[in-house]
Amino acid sequence: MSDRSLLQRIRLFFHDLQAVNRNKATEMLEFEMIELRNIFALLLFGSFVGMPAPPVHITLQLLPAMDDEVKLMFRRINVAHDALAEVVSTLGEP
Amino acid sequence: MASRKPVDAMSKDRVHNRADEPIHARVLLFVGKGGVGKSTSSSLFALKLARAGKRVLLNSIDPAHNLHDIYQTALGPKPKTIVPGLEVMETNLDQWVKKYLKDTERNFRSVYRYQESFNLHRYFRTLKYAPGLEEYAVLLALVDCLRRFADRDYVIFDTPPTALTLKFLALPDVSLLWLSELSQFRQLILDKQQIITRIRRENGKAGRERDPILGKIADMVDLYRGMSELLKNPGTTSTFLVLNPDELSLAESRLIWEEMSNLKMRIPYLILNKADGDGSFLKRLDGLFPGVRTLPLPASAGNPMTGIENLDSVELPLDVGEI
Repeated sequence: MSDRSLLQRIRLFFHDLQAVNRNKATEMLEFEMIELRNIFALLLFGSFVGMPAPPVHITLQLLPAMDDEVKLMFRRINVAHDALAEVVSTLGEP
Repeated sequence: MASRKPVDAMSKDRVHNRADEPIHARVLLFVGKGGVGKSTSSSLFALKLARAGKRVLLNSIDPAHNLHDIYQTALGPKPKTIVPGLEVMETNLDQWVKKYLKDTERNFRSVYRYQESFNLHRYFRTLKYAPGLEEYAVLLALVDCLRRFADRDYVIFDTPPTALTLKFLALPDVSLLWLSELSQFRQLILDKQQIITRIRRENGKAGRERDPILGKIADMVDLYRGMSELLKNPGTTSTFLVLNPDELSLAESRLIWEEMSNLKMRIPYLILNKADGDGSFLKRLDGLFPGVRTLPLPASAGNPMTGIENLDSVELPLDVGEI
């Protein structure tokens, strides 16, 4: 292995290490953001679960741009029965 | 003549009473309880304005059209010239609901192609009965009419009875309230997304301006703000509240006046249709509608008030130049 290649590998190792740390640091923030997106979707389509919803023309106009949010909402419905596991998995290992 | 611009509910077209798409026309709305003579009054005013050399479009957005009976000619969603300067049309609201749902369904299909098996068309067939769609159809028809006939001197609307009219007049403001909340919420999400992207040093879609949802919200805000400003501006829109000399009509007119005041829409004129008798009812109106000019329209003026000849023989209770 050449010196140059070794140096590159070390550089890559620290780069990945940094990336992992950055991801860990933003996990909670990301969880919060996903929750907010879920609430945003619920705000728009809350009439399905008995919440007051905006006028139909607003929801219909936004719906085509909201495929990610809708997927997220359905994913949340699937794990809704086990909220504790969801929180624990988000907090991760100590 | 202005180029025809069909309203695509999903398009980025906007309604402006300013800047790039100026609406020169003065908008006149005839509102009131069902059967008080909104169609008759609007027909009379439209004819008188046309006779005074103005270019006028009269559009009935009432699901129960009467204009064809008053002008004694067949009318439809295409404008028909009745006398020089006066075009009249009757908007089919059902068609607007259908068109809107069709556009929306087409848009849905292009995005949710994988959900074809859900038989979306069945859902859309039911959706036409969803609360709020009728007033939205009225608003779409109004916007489309104002765009197409923006160069007329006057665009006059013969409106539906009270409940539907108040709902569609409130729709721009109600929509703006919702959109303001949704916009703030969406920005909160995008702010968080930007922080995450910055920390992770990703080159993702963090830019707020690229968010399609916020873009659609901004388009809708533009549309409804334009409509709200247009309807509230006394320089562009005048409302004529029509009533008969009876208690029910008076009570409902008071309700309309209060609701429109809440929406910050001023009513400059009150038309007392069939204002016969000793004038005691006219006196009763004093103080009930502050700042409103009352225009008595006697029933005997043109009996029956149908047909061009009869309408021509009626004298307008104000000078057309004042409108």
